[in-house]
Amino acid sequence: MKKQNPDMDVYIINRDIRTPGFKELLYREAREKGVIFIRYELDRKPVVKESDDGTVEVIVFDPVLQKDILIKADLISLQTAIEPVSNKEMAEVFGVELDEDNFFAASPEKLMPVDSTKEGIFIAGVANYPRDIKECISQARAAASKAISLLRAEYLLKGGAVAEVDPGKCAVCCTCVRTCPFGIPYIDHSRGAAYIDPLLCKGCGICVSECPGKAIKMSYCSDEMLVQAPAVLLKQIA
Amino acid sequence: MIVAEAKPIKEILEMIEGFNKILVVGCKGCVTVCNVGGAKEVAILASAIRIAEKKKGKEVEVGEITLERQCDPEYIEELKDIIQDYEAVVSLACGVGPQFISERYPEARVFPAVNTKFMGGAVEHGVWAERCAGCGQCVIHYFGGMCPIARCSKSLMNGPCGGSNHGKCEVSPEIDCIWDKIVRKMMAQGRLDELLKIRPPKSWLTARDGGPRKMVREELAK
Amino acid sequence: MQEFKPKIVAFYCSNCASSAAEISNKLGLFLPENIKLINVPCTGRIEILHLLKAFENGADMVYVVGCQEDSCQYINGILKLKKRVAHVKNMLEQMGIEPQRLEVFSLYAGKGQDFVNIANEMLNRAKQLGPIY
Repeated sequence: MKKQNPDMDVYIINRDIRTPGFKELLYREAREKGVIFIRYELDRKPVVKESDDGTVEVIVFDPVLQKDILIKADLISLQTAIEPVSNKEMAEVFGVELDEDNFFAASPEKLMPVDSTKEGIFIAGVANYPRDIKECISQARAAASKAISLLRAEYLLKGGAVAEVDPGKCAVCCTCVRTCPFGIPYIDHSRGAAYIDPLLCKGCGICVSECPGKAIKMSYCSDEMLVQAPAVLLKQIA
Repeated sequence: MIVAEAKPIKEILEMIEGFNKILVVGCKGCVTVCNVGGAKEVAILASAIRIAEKKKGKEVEVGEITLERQCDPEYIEELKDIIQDYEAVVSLACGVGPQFISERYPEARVFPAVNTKFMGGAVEHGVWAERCAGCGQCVIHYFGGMCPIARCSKSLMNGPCGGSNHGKCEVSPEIDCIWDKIVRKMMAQGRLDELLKIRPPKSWLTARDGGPRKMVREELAK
Repeated sequence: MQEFKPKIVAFYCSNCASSAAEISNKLGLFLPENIKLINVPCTGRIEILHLLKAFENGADMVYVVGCQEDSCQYINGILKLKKRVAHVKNMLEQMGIEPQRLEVFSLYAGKGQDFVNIANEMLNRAKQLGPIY
C-alpha cells in the first residue's frame, strides 16, 4: 500500500510479530517506508468507535509514547485469529490426529511435514497451522507430489519389520488396541482376535511389549533376541 | 473379571526363603488380562528370584509354567508330573489357583504371589475399578444400572448419606459417591420418583457373609 | 591385581539414539568393548523381563538410551520405558541389588558427544559399584 501511495498513512496495531524465514526483511522495508507499528497489551486493547461524521476512529495506547493515540481511519482491516472449527469430525472420519490446538497434526516422524499421523493421508497449508499463501502453495505441491509417487508406484515395499498377532494366543483383551500410539490394531471379530494391518504398522514394537499374553510377535526384534543377544554378547567379555 | 495385584517382590522372596527348587505357576485367565499373573509375569518373577538368590550366593532352580486356568481341575492335573521335582510352588493366579493346587497336591508347599482384590473392569488402560461385590442378589436395575453394594462405602440401599461431598465420598476424595451418580442419572432419565421407594435392608445371606458359597446346577451336574 | 572390567549392556533406539551414535562414530569416538549395544526400533519395545534377564545373565550395569520425551518418533515409547525402568529399580532394591545399576537416558539426535559421555558415566558408575554378584 505504501509503495502505491507513499503519502498514505499506514498503521499496524499488533500483539506479537514473528518473522520466520526472510520475512524480517519485509518488516524492515515496511518500517523504512514509514509504516507505523503500535504494540498493544491485553489489558489495554485498542478501541474502535464510529465518530459523529460517520468515519471510524481507533484509540490505541502507544507503549513508547505512553499516551493514547487517536487514528481517524478510512479503512480498517481486521486480521483475526484463525481457529479450527470442525476438524474433529473430519479427523475421526480419516482416523488422523489433531494437535493440541486442534489443527491437523503432522507426522511425529522427522522431516515429514506434509504427512498426517496416518500413512497415505497428507495435509497442507492452514490445515496444519496458519501460514501465508506462499507456504501453503509449496506445501500443497509437496503433498500432491507425495500422493502421486504413492499412486504411481508399481509396487510398494511394506511389512517386514512389523508386528503380527497370533490369533490362537490372542485373549482379545484390547490392550494393543488401546496402547498403539497410532491406533492401528483393531478387533477383527471374524478372526476372534486383534488384527494389525502390516501395511500400516510402523514397527515400533510397543504392542509387542504391552500384550499381556505374548500373542504379538515381531521377528525383527523378538523376545528371544532381546533376552539371548545380551547373554551371548556378555560372554564375549574377557 | 477378577482383579489382583502383585505382592511386593520382597514379600515373595521372604516366603520362599530356604527353598532351592521353586515352581512358578501362572494363569492365562483373569490375571493375564490384568497384567499380574500371566506367562510374562511368571518369567519376570522367576528371573527376579534367580537374581536375588544369586546375589546371596545361592543357585536356585526356578521352573516356569503357565496353565490355561487354575480354576479347572483338568489344568491343575497338568502339574502332576513336575510338581514333585520342586520344594515350593508359587502361584500367580487369583485366590482360587493356589487353593486348587493345594487340594490336588496335598504335599506341596504352595505360596500366593498376588493379592486378589475385587471383581471389576478396566476403566482405562492400566486402571481397573471395582464394580461387583458378589452379593448374590443383583439389583442394579433399582439404581439406574449401578451397584451401591460394591460402590458405596457403606453399601447403602437408600442413599446418599450425609457424607456425600460434591460427588465424592467422605471416606476419601478419590472415591466417587455412587449415590450422587445414581440420583443424577435417575433425574436425567426422569425416574427420580423410583428412588422414593424404600428398599428393605439387604439380606446378606446370599453374600459371603452367609458362609462360603457353592453353586450346583442340577441340570448340568451328574 | 587385575582391574575390574564391568560388563555393561546398553539398549538404544533406532531413532534419536541411533543417530547420535552414528554422529559419535563420525567424530572418531567409539565405545569400549565391554559395553554391548543392543538396537531396538523404539525403547518402548523393551520390557521389564529384558532388563532383568540382562542382570540374570551377568550384566553389572544396564542402561537404555532413547529419544527426548517430546520427540519420540513413536510418540510415547520412551515414556513407557521410563516407567518400566522405575518399576525395575524398585524391584532391584527389594532384591538386594543396587538400583543404580539400571539407568535410562533421553538424548538429542544430533548429540554424538552425549552418546559417548553417557557410556563413560555408566562405565565409571559400574566400576564404583563393583561386580553385581
